[in-house]
Amino acid sequence: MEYKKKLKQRFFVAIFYIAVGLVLILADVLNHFENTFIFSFGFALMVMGIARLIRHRKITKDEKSMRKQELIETDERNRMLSERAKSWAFSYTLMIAGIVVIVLSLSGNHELAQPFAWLVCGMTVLYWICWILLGKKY
Amino acid sequence: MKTKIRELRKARKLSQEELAEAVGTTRQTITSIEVGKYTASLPLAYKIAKFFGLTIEEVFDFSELEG
Repeated sequence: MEYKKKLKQRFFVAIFYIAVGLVLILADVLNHFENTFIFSFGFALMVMGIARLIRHRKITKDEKSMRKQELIETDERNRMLSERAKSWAFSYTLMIAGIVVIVLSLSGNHELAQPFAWLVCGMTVLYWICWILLGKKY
Repeated sequence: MKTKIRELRKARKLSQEELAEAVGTTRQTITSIEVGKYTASLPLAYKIAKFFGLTIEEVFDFSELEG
């Protein structure tokens, strides 16, 4: 039941993406294609929404497919893989950004190094905030 | 962690897919548990043991934790 609710939410998110995409495309068409970024962004959103709708239709076509998908999404190993992948991605991003700061600073590109330094600081602060919040929860 | 899942499953002529379906997980998870690459959570270990009508200790080998 809970999963059906989740699927319904996803359906509305897909419709929302398509609607926003269409609005952006229309806005750019009415402005005689002045901003290609808006058109591309709208188009990308619309494609994403349509892809989500197709996936939604595939999952909800029968009870068996829905049950199978629910199993895949709630499977503890899959969840563990997802969490580890996110954790690795975070750690490597932080490490690479740190290396970029050092390299740019040593090569005299201090202005370019600054946003990367802020990224490292921001991510580290966010990490500790999450750590504290999770510590309170569990 | 070593387990007796493969032997128990084969004795009952069950496929990994069937066991996975019965305990509410995926075939890949059962494969990983059987080869010792993944350690099942306590709820899943309980479900597997209950499915075979055994206790968790009878299905999962905790000897390496006893050191």
